[in-house]
Amino acid sequence: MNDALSEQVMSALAKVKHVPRESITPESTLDSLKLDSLDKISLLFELEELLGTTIPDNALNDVLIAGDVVERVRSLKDAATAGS
Amino acid sequence: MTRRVVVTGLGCISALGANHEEFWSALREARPGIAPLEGFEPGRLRFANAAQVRGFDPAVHLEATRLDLLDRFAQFALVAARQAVTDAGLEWTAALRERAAVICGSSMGGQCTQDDQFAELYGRNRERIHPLTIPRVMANAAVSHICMEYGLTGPAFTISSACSSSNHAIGQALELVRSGRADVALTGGSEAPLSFATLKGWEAMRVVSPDTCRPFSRDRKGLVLGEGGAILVLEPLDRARARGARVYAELAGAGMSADAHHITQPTVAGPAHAMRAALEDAGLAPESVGYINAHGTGTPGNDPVESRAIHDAFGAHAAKLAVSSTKSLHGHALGAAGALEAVATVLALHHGVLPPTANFIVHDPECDLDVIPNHAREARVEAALSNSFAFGGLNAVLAFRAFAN
Repeated sequence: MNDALSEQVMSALAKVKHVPRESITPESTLDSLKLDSLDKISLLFELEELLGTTIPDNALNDVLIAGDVVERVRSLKDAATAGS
Repeated sequence: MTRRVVVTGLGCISALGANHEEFWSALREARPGIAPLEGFEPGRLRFANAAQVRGFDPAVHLEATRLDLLDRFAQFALVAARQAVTDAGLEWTAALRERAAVICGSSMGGQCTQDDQFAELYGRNRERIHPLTIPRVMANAAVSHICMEYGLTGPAFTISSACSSSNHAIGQALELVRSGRADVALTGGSEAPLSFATLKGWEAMRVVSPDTCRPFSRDRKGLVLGEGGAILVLEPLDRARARGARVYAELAGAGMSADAHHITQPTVAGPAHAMRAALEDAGLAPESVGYINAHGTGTPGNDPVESRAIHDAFGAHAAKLAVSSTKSLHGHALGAAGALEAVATVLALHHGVLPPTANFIVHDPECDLDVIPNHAREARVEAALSNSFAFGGLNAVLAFRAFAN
């Protein structure tokens, strides 16, 4: 889904990897972006900053493509909203 | 196995310039790197000057993804290492990579990163700091990045002994190459201590000069902080000869000691012991030494004690020695000091020119040495020492011998 959250997540990915935002699509695999474990924790930091919430350490463990990151973040955000 | 070890490559980033050539020409011409401190709020520090590395744009040297991982201290080391490897004309083979040592000194590691990130927590009350803080701050980061740059898989570690860090590191690298445990070593050190909290720490020690650094001059008022990094390539003489490498000088020995006295006050005995140990390790008679690159911080405390230590170690020959403190030009780069000064000493032997003690005004009878005041001196000397003495009373002295190619 192309929305504000998706845009924010793609931008965070682009920031962590120092690549142009346009080079990342929801179908981009994290492998193709060469997102290693250290990059993943940098991404989690950027996402926490962005959302102002706490994301669990293992949130991105089984995520394969950029679009999945968006959906994972969306569900965390929705859960946080529902719980508040 | 004992092998003669020579210096075949130099890399250097300092307030005196972007490479060892600029460093040397500034030393030779007594062109100071000490200038008004930039980048800090005016009026919040009691001193105004520092020997800052200016015009260093890390993005020119390092790609953005790499830079994320590198504090300024590691940037200096990595760029200096690249310069040194190129300067030495090293060609890496699988066998050489396995037998390459990387031993560097740093007193404080990634202090700029630590300062910035802790300010977020304590100053701005934020809940999180950047996840790359730890890998940037760790004092071994510089060594690890140099290893990764070239795929070097031999012995590699960082030594931290405050202002003696680099000399201890170079001494360990000498040991590894001399004993045959490594066939080449990249060694030296780096420091980037010009963060606000670190400056405040030094201010509180009341050892920083309000103006400039005047080592051994009676009107000296203290040290001036500096930053930078330098790397030397060490190789066994036989290997250097076999590949037709240019040799700057021989690293003939190293001497170390502990004062075991006081956490900040130096002794005469400790430094004298380290100088004697360096001479003995190098197989040098005291009379063969013509130059000492002094620790020479320019503090009221260090310079008379170091002068007495030199007299103690050299006896009557102390009157014939030329001694200078190049900290008067490149500032006190703390854990990088020994590396910068090793480059100065090696180039002094190589060029037959002794760098001066700048800003010298008045002779101090408590520092009764020929300190090469203000102007470099042409002199071919057989051997030279480079002194580093640290807070905590940990002393490390390197002994270099001139080498005729």
